[in-house]
Parts: sequence; structure tokens; C-alpha cells
Amino acid sequence: MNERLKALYKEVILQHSKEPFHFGKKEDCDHVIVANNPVCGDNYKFYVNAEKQTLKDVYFHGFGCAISKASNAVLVQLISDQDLKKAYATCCAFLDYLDNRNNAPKTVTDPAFEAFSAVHEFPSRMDCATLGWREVKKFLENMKEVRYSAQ
Amino acid sequence: MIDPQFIKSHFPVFRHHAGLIYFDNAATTQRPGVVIDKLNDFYSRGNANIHRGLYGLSVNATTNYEAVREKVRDFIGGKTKESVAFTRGTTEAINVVANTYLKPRIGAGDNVVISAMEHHSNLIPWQQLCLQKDAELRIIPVADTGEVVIDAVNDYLDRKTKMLAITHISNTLGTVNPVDKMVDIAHRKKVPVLVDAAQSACFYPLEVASLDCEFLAFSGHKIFGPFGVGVLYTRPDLIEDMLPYNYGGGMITHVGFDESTFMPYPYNLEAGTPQIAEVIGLAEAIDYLRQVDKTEAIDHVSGLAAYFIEELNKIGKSAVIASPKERTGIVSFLLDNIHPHDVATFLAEDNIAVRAGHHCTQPLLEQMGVRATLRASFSIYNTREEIDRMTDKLTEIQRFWS
Repeated sequence: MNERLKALYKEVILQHSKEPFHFGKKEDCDHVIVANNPVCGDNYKFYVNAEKQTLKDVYFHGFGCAISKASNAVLVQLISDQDLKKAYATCCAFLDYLDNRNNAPKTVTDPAFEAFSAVHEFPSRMDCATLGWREVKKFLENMKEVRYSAQ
Repeated sequence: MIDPQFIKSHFPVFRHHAGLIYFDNAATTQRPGVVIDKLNDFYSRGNANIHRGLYGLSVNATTNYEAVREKVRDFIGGKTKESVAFTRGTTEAINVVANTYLKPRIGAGDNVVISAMEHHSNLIPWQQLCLQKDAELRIIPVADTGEVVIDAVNDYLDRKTKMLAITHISNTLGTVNPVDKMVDIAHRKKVPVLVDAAQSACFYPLEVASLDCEFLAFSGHKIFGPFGVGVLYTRPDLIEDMLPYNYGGGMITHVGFDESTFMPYPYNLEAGTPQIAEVIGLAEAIDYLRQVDKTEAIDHVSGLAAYFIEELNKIGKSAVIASPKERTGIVSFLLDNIHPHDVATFLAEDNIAVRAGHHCTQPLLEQMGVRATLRASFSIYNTREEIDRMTDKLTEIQRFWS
């Protein structure tokens, strides 16, 4: 097994993908965010409760590769119990962290992001790592609290 | 006997990528040097627009372009070269039939019949037409073996059926359909048939005249030819029913500000400047294929598929999707419960190119109970040694994952 692959499929990613955090259907939630990738067939739903501008008990469920599943598990872990603005900032920071075009040092990172650092080396897998984050970010942008703060 | 190493030496991509194991031939084949050289030669020595110039270059370009119709006619066993129209590919050819032939002939309460194993390109054009016309799209089921339930075909056709559109070979499962039987069944009910030959045109004799299908479509890039060129065959007695698809230059007989008249098929489908170099390159691919014995080629690719399945079955927890009696060199499979994209990424690191996903057959995979598969598709330059490399790697991936 070569080093590039070992870096992409770090133990932590395999672990997350085998036993993802908050993996389950919670249909009775306030919002369902759909994250589909028609090209590869990845298909996830995020179950979100927004209570007093805080995301409560975020769960996800669906079908996809190890990278997307692990990435969604980290996403759910990081935004659960965060207020909307912070959750939005976390999504932006993760997407910025993985953005190949932006070589500037990343201002905000989280130790949990590092598991995905090797995705840079695999452009074809970038969508897998970012799919859920992009959809959750889009969802948050439509919440008025976030919209005002982003202006 | 097919000599894959000798054949491989004709394909420059393998010189530029030493060690490349290319198992994605159902998506597109590689090109032999002669085809690439032909494109280069046309642009270097023969470049001019066709049909309109009176100077030598244009006259020659026109002659060479038109000569390809005869070459294609011979390749597919047609009767007249006028039945051969050039399109951008299989997808466009099917859209042409749906929108120029069928659209004026279908209405509310009519139906179009396809099978559950159609590529999206032989599903969506009919589906959208049926939606527009309040017609019904009927789907012949596919058994767990990955075969169209042939006894059911007859039951799906009736007096209201305006088209049976069926693939010759499933791009996902590798199933070879008995299209001759299907054409017979349809014709007994006076239903015209379109055959999607995208996966079969390379090695399988099409013989449209004896098959007697009304329409047949395939792409150049899946038979060692250039991208961007495909063929629509229309049975000679129907060519007058084929209306223009795009309007513009090149397909007219007279143009006025108030009205215009158009060239007959196939020229009425080739508006604007066509893909001249690609059509000429397609002829070179057909010439290349003429040197290959079709029976040997089919034996080679289906033999590789059988060998791969045999080796794959030795790896625990792997699964081949479908088990058709007649299979071409296409195998869809799963490894353990590892997602196909993860497996494909691992294989890519070892220079092994396979495809992972739904292969443009989402409804079929849903029916087979899977969301995505790995697909290995073989051609005449592939070898058993390459398959051994892949199965070794699959074993390694499984070990890493467990």
C-alpha cells in the first residue's frame, strides 16, 4: 500500500466511515438537508434541529464512499450544538482548508480537518470530502441570522 | 488468435503511460496510432470545409467525407449509403429518432417500450417525449441474471406501441441481448425498433439489412475512432420520414425569408459544418477493425470477463452483479462493503483504470439493489496478466480495509 493512499485513508477516516458519529435517520427533525452528487450517486440527508439559533442533535444518513462518510461524520460532530453563525464559520473554514486554489495560509483550522489534508493530492475525490459541507453551508446561508452576519 | 501485446503496440497511449492497465473500454476505447495520424493528416494536408468549395482541397475533403458513408454502410451491413447519417454520437442519434421520426407519430395513449437495462441515453429521450405527448413509457423487466425477460417482450407491445428501443449490449452488466429475436417479436406487431449498438458496434456483427431493424445508433469513440462522431442508420424505406434535426447551413435546397426547403436524409441531419476530420478518422478506425477477426475479438473479451469472474470469486466477500448466459467483456462487481469509489481510487494508484458509479443506468442498479458498482470493461489489448494484477490489488485493498 503506497504512502499517498495511506495518507488519504488515514486510520481516523476509516474509523469514521465504519462507525460514523450520529449516523441515523431522524425524520422528525426541523430541517432535512439533502446532499446529492449525481455524478457518483452519493446520497445523504442531514437531520437538523435549530433551537434558539443553535443546531441541536444533527444526524446524517445515506450512501457514499469512505471519504464522504467520514467527512460528514466530522461535519456533524463539529456543528452539533454550535450556534448558527459558528456553524457557518466552521463550514467556511473547512472548505477554505481544502481549497486548492487558495495557497494562502489558512486562518481558521480545526485539528479534525487534518484527517482530510491528503485529499489535496486526489482532485477526483475533492467532491467526496466537500459535498456535505457545501450543502450545509448553503442551508445556513438561507437562515436569516447567518445572512445578516455575513453581510 | 488475438495477440494483445501486438495490438497494444498500435496504441500510442500505452507508450506514453507504461504500465497502464486500461479497463474502462465501455466508457471509451483507446485510439490506434493510425486514427490519430489520420486526424493530424487531415488537418495538416486536407483541411477545408466540405460541400461548398470549388477548389481542390474542398473537393477532396468532400469526396473523403462522403466516402465514409459507404465505408460505414459496409461495416454495418446496410444496403444503401444514404441510410447512414453522421451524428455527434449515440445519444444524439437516439434524440434525432425520438424528436424527428417519432414526435409527429406519437400521441396521448400511445406508448414506447424500452428495457430496464437501458443507458440513460436510450431512456431519457423517450421518457421526455412520452411526458410531452401524454404517452406511456413501458419498461420490460430485467431478471436477476441481468437478462431481459424475453418472454415478456411480446406482452409489453400492443397496437399503441410506436417504438421498441433496446440496447444490444448492457453497458453496465455486459449482457448481450438477442436483438434479432426482439426485432422479430416487434415486427410481428408492426412496431419499429431502434437498436442501441454503442457497446456492440466494435466487435459484434451488426448486419442491419438482415437484422431488419428500423434504426441503429453507435458512437465512433467506442470503436477506436474519434470523439464527437456517431452514426445513425435508418432503414432505407424510412429515410423520407426523417425530418431535419438542426436547422442551418448545409442542409437546405432553397432558402427564402418566408420559407425554406431542405435536403433529404441524411443531409438534413447534418446542418452546419459537420465533424469532418472525425468522420474521416472514423473510417480509419473501421479500416483498423477490419484487420481484427470479430469472432476472435468477442472470444477474447468475453474470455477475459469469464477469467476475471473466476479469479474474483476466489476473493471472499466479492460479488459479481448479474450472470447472463451471454456476456461481453464487461463485468460489474462489488468488493466487500467497500464503496466502489474507494476501491477505484486504490486501483488508480496502481495504474489500473476502472469505472465506479452508476454507469448512467440508475434505475437498473436500483432494481438490482445496488447504488453503485465497480465496472471493468475489456478490449483486445487487455490480457489475463493485467487481470491478475487487478485481482492481487483487490485482495490487498480488502486486507487493508478489514
